[in-house]
Amino acid sequence: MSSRLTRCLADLSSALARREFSSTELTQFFLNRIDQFNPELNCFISITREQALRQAHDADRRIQAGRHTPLTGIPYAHKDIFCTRGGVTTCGSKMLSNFVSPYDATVTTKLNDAGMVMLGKTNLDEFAMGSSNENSYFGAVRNPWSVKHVPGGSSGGSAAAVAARIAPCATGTDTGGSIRQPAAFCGVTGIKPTYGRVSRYGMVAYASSLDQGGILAQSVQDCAMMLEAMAGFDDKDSTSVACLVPAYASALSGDICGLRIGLPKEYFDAQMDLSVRTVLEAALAEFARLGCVAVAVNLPSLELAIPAYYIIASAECSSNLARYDGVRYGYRCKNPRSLEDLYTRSRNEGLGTEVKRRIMVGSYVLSAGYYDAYYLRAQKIRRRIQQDFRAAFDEVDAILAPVSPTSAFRIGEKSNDPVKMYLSDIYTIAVNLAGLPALALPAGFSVNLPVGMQLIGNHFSEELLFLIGHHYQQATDWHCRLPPMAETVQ
Amino acid sequence: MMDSKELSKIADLAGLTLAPEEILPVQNALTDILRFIGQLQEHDMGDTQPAIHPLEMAQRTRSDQVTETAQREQLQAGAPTVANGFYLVPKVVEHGN
Repeated sequence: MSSRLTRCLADLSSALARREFSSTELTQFFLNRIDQFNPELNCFISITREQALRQAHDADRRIQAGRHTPLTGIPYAHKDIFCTRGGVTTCGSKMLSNFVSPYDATVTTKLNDAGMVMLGKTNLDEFAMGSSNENSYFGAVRNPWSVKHVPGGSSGGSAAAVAARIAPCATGTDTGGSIRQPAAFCGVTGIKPTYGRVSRYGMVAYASSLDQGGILAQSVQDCAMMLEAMAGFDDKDSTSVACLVPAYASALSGDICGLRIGLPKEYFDAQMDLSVRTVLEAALAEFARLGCVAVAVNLPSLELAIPAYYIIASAECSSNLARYDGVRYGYRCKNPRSLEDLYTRSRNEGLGTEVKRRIMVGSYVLSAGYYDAYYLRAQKIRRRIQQDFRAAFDEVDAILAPVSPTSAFRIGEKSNDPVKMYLSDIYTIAVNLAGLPALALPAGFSVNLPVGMQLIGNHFSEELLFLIGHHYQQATDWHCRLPPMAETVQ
Repeated sequence: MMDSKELSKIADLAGLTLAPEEILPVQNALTDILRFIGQLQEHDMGDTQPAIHPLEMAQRTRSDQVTETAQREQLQAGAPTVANGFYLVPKVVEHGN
């Protein structure tokens, strides 16, 4: 098996610098793997082959001239919710299936400036709404660990691409768990940064007070390298926070002995599969061996997090998606009979079932007579959740939690029951309501399917999460496991 | 179960037109979802204030200076139908009104 499949980004970077192989060779290697595996996995909506090879060639020249960064020449997969100028950005939707963005997202610009090579745009639940990647106009993504199972969502394409090693790393977005849950289902590492840490300019909006861009990669070390390049203040994003970006990749060697790890009673009392509980207990034992101290914490408002989230997210999405009206860009219905028909039929034909459901729920909860009862009330729950986490972080340094009550479920198992699907977000969404960072780590298996855990930190504590997670990954090898299908090298 | 009049009102607010075969599944799904999120009504919020921003920050403003350049041609390049710099839509004003 080629060692390029399992080498971390730092190793790839050194190998490129000492000319063990070129970026062009490395990029072609991953493009070949995409050709081999994408037909079955459906991770990519578009493969930007020519652009990738052009970027790789430029990267090789930069490296030769000594003008490179640690990420120069390294290929990545880009979630198709980030605008990329001159290419199609679909958001997994028929509405934008022909949308060519006139500008790059700030994340795209930053990764371009770092010299990274974009292999293509990855599949996702439509407009990031979903937890299984079954809601894409471009078809479901399949989990490389078992093609009958979902990879999770909404960043399912990115997670599956990294798990199958058809990309060494990928971007994702997380509004209610959409980096962490697919990371857990696919056995990869994922970071959802603090709200405002990564610019949302050019990241097509689902729920503006919850969305955050992040990374899926093979390890904590890789996530740290990429976040260092992606994070930072952006004056084009009015919610971007002017907070210095630490050298995440260089801060992984500290000691974690004595750190306090919180265990929320509400999470560990909740329904989760026995296999998930067993994996979490083993992880906790590992943290104890590393010198961490477990502390019980209470987050009493968590029981209302899911309904609060779906009210707030739906309300914000109904506003954000009002722009898709068939007038200025995107899908337009044929032969509109009137302006109103143009709007409603373009939207009805261009948007998928789950997206339309959430827009309608959002319109309902914001409507006259219901705003106070639903939206305002949900924002009060949000306040309480923030207060609960604030109190918890007075007692602990980080919180350990499951990511999902189960490992990956079968394709089709929950797709006809939206509420059942929403309930599976129980462990992830409170983090988004509070704007906190969270790191998902592979932690074990349940009958050959990966099980993940997450470490939740206080605002802007990504450095600490990376330190704890890195120590865990030095002591275990769950993050090094490959699905059997990925071991084939042509 | 949500009635069809209410469903029609919500669809109207959402800028959607439901096809006849969509009505019953959407009615069922929305009834379930609204019942699920409605559990918030059972809890007393006391004097808790709403939280709009996850980090409790205020909207940042910038100086009142023009920073964008005119890019009409580029921005309209992907539009469904344009003419002379205008986006074309069905007529909204009846002749003689």
